[in-house]
Amino acid sequence: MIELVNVKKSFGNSEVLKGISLRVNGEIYGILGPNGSGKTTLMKIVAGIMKPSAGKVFVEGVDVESDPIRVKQIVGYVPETPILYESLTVSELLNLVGKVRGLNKEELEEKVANFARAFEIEDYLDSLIATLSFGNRQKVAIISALLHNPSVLILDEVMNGLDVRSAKILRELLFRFRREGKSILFSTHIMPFAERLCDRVGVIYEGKIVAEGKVGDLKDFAKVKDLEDVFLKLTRGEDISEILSALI
Amino acid sequence: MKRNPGISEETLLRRIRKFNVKNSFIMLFSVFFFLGILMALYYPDTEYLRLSITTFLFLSSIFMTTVSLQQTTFAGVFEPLKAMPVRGVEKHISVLFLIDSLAVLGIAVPPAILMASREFLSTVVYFLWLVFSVLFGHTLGMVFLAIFGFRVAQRSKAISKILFGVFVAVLILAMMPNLLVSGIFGEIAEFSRKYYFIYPFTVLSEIRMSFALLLIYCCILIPLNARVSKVGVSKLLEPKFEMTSKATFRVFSGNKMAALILKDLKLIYRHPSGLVGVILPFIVIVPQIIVLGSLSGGNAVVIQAISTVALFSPIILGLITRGEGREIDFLKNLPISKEDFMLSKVLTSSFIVCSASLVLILIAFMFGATPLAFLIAVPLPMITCLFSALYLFDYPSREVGIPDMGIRRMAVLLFMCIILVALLLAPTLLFANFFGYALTFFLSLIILAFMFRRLRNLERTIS
Repeated sequence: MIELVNVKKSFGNSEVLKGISLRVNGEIYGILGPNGSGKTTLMKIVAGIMKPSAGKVFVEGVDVESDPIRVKQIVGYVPETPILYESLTVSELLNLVGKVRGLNKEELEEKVANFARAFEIEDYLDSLIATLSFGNRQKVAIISALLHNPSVLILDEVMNGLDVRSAKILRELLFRFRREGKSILFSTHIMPFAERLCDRVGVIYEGKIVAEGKVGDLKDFAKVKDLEDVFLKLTRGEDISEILSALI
Repeated sequence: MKRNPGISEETLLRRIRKFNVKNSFIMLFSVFFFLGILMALYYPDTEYLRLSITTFLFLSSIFMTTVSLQQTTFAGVFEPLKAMPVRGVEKHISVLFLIDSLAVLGIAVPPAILMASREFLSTVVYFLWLVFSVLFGHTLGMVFLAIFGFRVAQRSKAISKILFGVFVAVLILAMMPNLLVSGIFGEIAEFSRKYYFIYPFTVLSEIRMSFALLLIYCCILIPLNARVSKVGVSKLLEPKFEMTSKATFRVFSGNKMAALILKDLKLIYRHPSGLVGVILPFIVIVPQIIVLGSLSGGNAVVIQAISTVALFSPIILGLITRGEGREIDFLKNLPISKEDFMLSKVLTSSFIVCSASLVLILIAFMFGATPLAFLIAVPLPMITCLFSALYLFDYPSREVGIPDMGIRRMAVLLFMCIILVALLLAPTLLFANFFGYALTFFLSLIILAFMFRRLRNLERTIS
């Protein structure tokens, strides 16, 4: 379970998160928001990579601020832009992750083999990360986050760069994780993904959650057909067609 | 705030944004300048010094040109250039790497200042020869790339083999002249007088002849450089691509710490600046030990070897830690504590400096040093590594991060290391017998134990 209580984060004078509270328990929770709304900051705070300026974050009951190492053992985190060791090969990187996460030889071998087959990166295991395409890097980042079978997943724009097959595999995996009771915090720009994948969504705008609930409920509330319109209505409240006509 | 790695990512990003060739050049130049001071201090023979610096610059330039260009290409740095409507990209890239290579001239400045105080004009000509050496090395590196091209293989082994080959070749080539010159310099001097027109012996010829030869060599080299740079860089921009067969995943043996150390060693091995940083101490120290060994032998060589290696510890530790770069963000996602991170850095740097120390003591042993020297060959460099880590990572946060390693802070650290090493080596210096070595050994063990304890209790101290 992920629990955020009145989380605030400031960088200098700029307040990026203005008191976020939410709870994710055995479900896929989608964080939606425009660029610069604070999604990535929120994800980093939950993953224990960044400290909040105020408020509390608990992951499986563990206070992130007081025991970030324990939280990192529980969590699998895929950042928005995967930063991986460019000068290591995929094998070496996954070995490093496996060893740090305390996986034994057989377990690590089996998991890497299965994930590499699923995401079609078997041919790249001996390749340096520097030579991989963005999509393949993303796959390596995803495998690194899933190797230890985490009970909580934090996925920041995880579908970026993935091919259709890998995106489908990941989606099915997430459904399976949800059935196993894992909590998944998921941020995306792609509304159809969020609509298909998330049990609940929270729309974050200017550092605050402006709406939260099931996709259907939000559509009813905003009186629109799809999530994209809900998002636009809640975050900008302006008519796109007017902007377009000014452009063309 | 400055020393808090909680904001290190922002600091790092700011540094990356601020990065420019000028700063990078100054930084590299300063490191080589420091090594140049060491060379100027320990080589009394001017001819020997001239020849070894010339050879060193020539080889470093080949190394930096080939390895840096390959690594940069491998990282895809040139990719955006291909899409831009820019003419003469090859020339710009070549000049950029030549500027990078020129930073090694820093090593020649302190000895040159020393020489200039005696023979000004001859030193000016000699310095021009050094610039020529860098250009020559750069050109040969480009010839190498133009002839053999650059194959980008999917597998890392291909690049590793190239790197390893260049590494070993440069190491051997850099050592050999030094060993030969220092050992049988009389014969070399005679040979160089006979074949004064062949580079690098040209640097030892009479001043007017030397200058004339320099002009002739430049007339050939400059057009050649322009031609091969174009071919060499264009081959790099369009490398041959080799697909390889299916790879297999093999799990390395070892625990979390071993994995972190292995990662650090691989990063050094595959990163030109890291590799240069690690092999440089060897290139600088080995000839010193040989010269000193043949002059005085015994205890002085041991003291010299161990103290120099120990003083390289902060630099090596800094290189390894800095080597993480922005990729440290990946480690931040993993359950690694600050003390685990520090310990991995201490053990990696200790592995390098202790290996160097043992090799040097072995050489010193050949020059009559006592076998007791092996007693202190490991603990002393380890102490300076550990001390450096405790000093550098002394920031009020439990997070893994790259600490502040500014020049001022590193200078203070180096000064403290000098005092520490001097205190620990004092018994060996004073007694020069079993008692002296044993005392230094036991003192070192006590300090090591104390420092390891401090490192292990770090978590508690911070909280």
